Amino acid sequence: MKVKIDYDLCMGDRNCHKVCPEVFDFDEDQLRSIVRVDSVPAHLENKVRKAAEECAPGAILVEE
Amino acid sequence: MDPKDALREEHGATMKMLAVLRRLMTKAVDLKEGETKDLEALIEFFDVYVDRYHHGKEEQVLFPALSLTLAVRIDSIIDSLIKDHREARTIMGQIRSKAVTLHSCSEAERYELKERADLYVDLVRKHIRKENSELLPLIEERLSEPERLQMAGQFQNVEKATLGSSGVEIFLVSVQRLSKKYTLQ
Ligand code: SF4
Repeated sequence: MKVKIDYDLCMGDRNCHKVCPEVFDFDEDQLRSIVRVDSVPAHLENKVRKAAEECAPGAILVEE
Repeated sequence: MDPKDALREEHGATMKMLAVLRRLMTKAVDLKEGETKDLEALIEFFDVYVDRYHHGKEEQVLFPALSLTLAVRIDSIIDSLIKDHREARTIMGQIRSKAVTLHSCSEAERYELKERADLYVDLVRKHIRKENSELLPLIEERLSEPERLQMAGQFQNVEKATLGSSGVEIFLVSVQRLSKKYTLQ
């Protein structure tokens, strides 16, 4: 699984970081989230799907 | 709904519409009739849903409640957020007056419309990120559960006063339709 963030849509509420800190980090200068991994480890895939579902502006793009 | 979650959801809907506005404005010089109608729907969304309803909740309910907690830092955050609201209101007013006469606008005036819209998008995106980072955490930090419950009720009053009986639904349908048309792959 691959995951990307649409930086125009990211509103910086850090929810993804709370749900899956292993994959999502927060850029304190730009006030938006960033992805820390090239591909998502299998054991974290469900957490990443949950983060994407909960992302209010739909900024998390998951490629299965 | 908890006040923090309600404001967060409204920020999400607003970010989606900002992306739509930016995309639509890439064609500002040559908007077709359907796209002009979409621009009108966007302006209605930013005027009513964002400014009157969402900013109304913040300015009439949330900011006064946080201000009562008497922390110096809170007042300076609120001052800068109110300044952003005013600036956004002014720019949206300029966009609205250009959009009304769009059919007779010169190419230069259409570029001006695009430039105003880009300014609005950049300002409101930055503002929302600032609120999510600095303002929303204060709701849990500074207000007790009964205070938050009372605030949820006050938010409903603002909803009735600003949106009437039709409520938010009509705007959320618009968000879905326009996002699908302009921004979703
Ligand atoms: S949950 Fe979505 S909007 Fe919020 S910080 Fe993460 S990517 Fe950005």
